Amino acid sequence: MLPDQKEINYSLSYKEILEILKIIDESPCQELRLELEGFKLEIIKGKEGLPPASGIAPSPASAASPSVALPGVIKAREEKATKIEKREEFPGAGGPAAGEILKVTGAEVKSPLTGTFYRAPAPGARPFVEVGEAVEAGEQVGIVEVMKLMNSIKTPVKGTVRQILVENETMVRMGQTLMVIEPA
Amino acid sequence: MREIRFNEETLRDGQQSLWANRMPTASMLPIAAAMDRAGFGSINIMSGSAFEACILYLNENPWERLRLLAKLMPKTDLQILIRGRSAFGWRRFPNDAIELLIKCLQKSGIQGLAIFDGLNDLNNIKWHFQVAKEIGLQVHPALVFALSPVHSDAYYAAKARDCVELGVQSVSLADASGLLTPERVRTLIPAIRSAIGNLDFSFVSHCGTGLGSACYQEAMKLGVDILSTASIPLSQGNSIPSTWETLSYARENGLKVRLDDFLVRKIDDYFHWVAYQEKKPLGQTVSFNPAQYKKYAAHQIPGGMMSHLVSQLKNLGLEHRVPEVLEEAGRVRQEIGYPVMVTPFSQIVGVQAVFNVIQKERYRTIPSDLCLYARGYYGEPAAPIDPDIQDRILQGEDPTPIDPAENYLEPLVSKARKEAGASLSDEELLLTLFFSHPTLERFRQNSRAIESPAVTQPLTALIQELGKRSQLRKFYLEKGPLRLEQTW
Repeated sequence: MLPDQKEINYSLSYKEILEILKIIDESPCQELRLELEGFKLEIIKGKEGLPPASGIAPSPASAASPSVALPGVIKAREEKATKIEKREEFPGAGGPAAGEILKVTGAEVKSPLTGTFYRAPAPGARPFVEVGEAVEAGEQVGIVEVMKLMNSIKTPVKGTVRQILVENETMVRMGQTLMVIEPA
Repeated sequence: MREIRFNEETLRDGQQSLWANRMPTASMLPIAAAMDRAGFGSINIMSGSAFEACILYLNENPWERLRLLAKLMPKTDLQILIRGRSAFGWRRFPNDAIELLIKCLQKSGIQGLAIFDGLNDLNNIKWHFQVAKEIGLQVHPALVFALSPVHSDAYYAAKARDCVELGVQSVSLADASGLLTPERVRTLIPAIRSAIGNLDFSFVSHCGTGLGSACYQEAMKLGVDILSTASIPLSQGNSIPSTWETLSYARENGLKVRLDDFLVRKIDDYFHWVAYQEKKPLGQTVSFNPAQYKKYAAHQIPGGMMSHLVSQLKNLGLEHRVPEVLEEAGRVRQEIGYPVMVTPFSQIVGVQAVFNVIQKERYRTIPSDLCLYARGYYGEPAAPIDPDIQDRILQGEDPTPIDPAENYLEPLVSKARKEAGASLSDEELLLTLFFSHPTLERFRQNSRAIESPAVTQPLTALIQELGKRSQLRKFYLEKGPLRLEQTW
């Protein structure tokens, strides 16, 4: 088989896994927990016989899953996972009104992950959107960068930008509301 | 909008400069299709020293590598670097051997030849041009840069004009040692440009002194058409600037770039993984240091040769005399007419300098290659050899000048064919010309078919790597619906 026929899957990059491995190899800590969009990794170091400092909360699915997955299985599941992630990208969108402090009703655009929020495609460039501007559903309104990877943030609904709640180049938490869009 | 094109060099200059050509073909194949689609103007996939590394160290057939890569890269022009008359070997080859090599390269799927001569003597390589043209291959001569009083802007302009007259597809300025400064680029590039008119102008510099990227920024503003770059892990250090940084500069300067950013980043990402797996160093950015630059510019001995020279002096217990040898090398280089410090001239100068220092009398022992050089065997030196030194070199030797072209008509291929028998393929016959009998015997015993490995996805790679770590007791991984738990 020519390597051409099997494409490299980019839901996770090689560079990211090398960073993860570096963290694992160089960190003196016994336990490590890493979460990225749609990706979770927990590690316990130490030789057998040592009690774990605190157990990993067993995931309901883990018992049912095989303990070793074949690469092919992983790939098939990954593709499925990617689709799910996309649909669930903005869990808050179109849902209940924004928090009381905001006093603005509309669809919230939330950060799907913890990272740095950027309002423009490049330093000094025009921001994707400004308050008062009309947006189409699926239009890019910002970027959240995690481990040097740029993740585009899109509005789930068509409407008008009512509020931008986060400054450019600031840290945002997963699930934090970034903008409020008044649906058209 | 003016466009800047890119010649991709990860598999040639990149791995030659940083990994001593030890990247196996199996590591190239998984990314070849992406490289082909990324929008490069050309991709250079092999040189004489990579060809040699395949035989000597990797035990893989270099012809097979060429064919496999060509199959995976049907869209982009593929190039090969040819070291003038010595081509893929070390001795100087006559016309028939050069011709057979070029024809075999074309059959393997190559579209263009990048060709240089260490003395920039076009008489040595115009035969290559002629053969390539006859069979429809592109010809890309490279003029090698050296820092000396005779390697002036006018010198390069005249050489470039000579290339144009010989009928070529582009002219390249190649700074193999990273000696060019942005200041010099500002005069040299326009001088060559005015000599070649609208013909494609290609430029490559190196980052060993820390000036490569700055030279690229100047060169693109001055109207160079093509820049040679490599993926990030195989750029910088003694290698060349990266594609990613160069395309960013190009866009900042308002130049059009036809590269697919996503694929460029994908290629970068992939070679990070190759470096990790093969335990190879990543190219590190060198900061420019004026004092070191000055020292280096005085002798211009390339990095690969330098480490060799130092270790040899160490073996002789003469490590402390390294500075003296380097200073002497600068002197020898000047006396013999400023050859560009590339193979074989860097070796000739370096060895003579060692002799001069350890024997306490200059030019007492002379390597035979220096005698040949002084008699004109390698072609015309950039400047005349100092007459006193010329006399010293040829003292007690036959001083008759040698016309290099005399040997070009020797019927080497038919003789080798007669010895080898008709059953040997042209490709194998060329191997017998380039390599010694014992080397080839060893190769034939050890050579393995090149594998086309299945691509390991990053997630799978992570799981495999975690599995190798003995300090782990347990890991739990969750990705979408996938749950994976392993305990030791």
